[in-house]
Amino acid sequence: MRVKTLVVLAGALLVSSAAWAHHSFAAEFDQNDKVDLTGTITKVEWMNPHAHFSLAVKDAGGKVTVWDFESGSPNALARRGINRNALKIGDTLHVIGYRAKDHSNLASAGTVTFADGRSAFAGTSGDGSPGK
Amino acid sequence: MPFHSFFQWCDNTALAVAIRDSRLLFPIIESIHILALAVLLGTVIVVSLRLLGVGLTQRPAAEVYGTLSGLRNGALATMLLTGFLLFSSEAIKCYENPPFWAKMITLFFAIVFQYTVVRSTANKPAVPLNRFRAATTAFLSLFLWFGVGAAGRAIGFY
Repeated sequence: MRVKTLVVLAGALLVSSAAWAHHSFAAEFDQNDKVDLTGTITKVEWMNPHAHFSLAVKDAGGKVTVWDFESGSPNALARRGINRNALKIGDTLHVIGYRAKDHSNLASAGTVTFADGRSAFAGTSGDGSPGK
Repeated sequence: MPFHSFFQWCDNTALAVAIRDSRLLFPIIESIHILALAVLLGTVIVVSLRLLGVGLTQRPAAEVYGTLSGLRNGALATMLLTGFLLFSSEAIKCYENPPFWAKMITLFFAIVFQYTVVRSTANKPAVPLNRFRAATTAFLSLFLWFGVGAAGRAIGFY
């Protein structure tokens, strides 16, 4: 009985951890579901193996939706000129990305363009993301 | 680029695609890889401590080494198999990843060192250990195997 509980717990942990642990582009994101969004940065999580950030995106009717984006590793981003200070809360950012297969407001970041016009690939190099 | 077509082939196998497309296969295989790592490094640490004269000194080094052979070989085989599966699911990413190459080179030397120098140093029944040779072997063995682990961890952080 106790063993069964442990197995169920381990299984649940594994399923839930799949979202934040290492995974491929194809396991989470749909390369045919491209999103093109401009919004205000509301959150930045500068962590391994993937940095995350969120954008508040206002639609034509004024309704605000928060989108979460997954990027490459902090080191990979820094090599492309996106360091910890490049993503500032409140700044405007344009992102082309690929939406999660579960159709939540989560996407893999492809090309990001800053307010000053600079742009860079923000995904993971060589992982199958078409945005590179 | 002699390796690139091999990496490309690995990346395209049905198994690699299946692992890549699944949310669960990669973490499950990775868990087995890490469990085998714990066993393998366990044997490396125990043999190294014995060679350093720190632990299990009431038993001959050859006995310590020999008793652990099944675990060591089984764990290494498990790691190579699961490691290849994990690698193939992201072969192209690995090709562009310097820590991956560092890991493969260190792994090559760790395996060669393990089955030549460590074995011949530890696995000699009845011969008293040369303490300098034993200590050097122990430190090099630990350095190489932990180097493999450190480079492996760095793959995801590059």
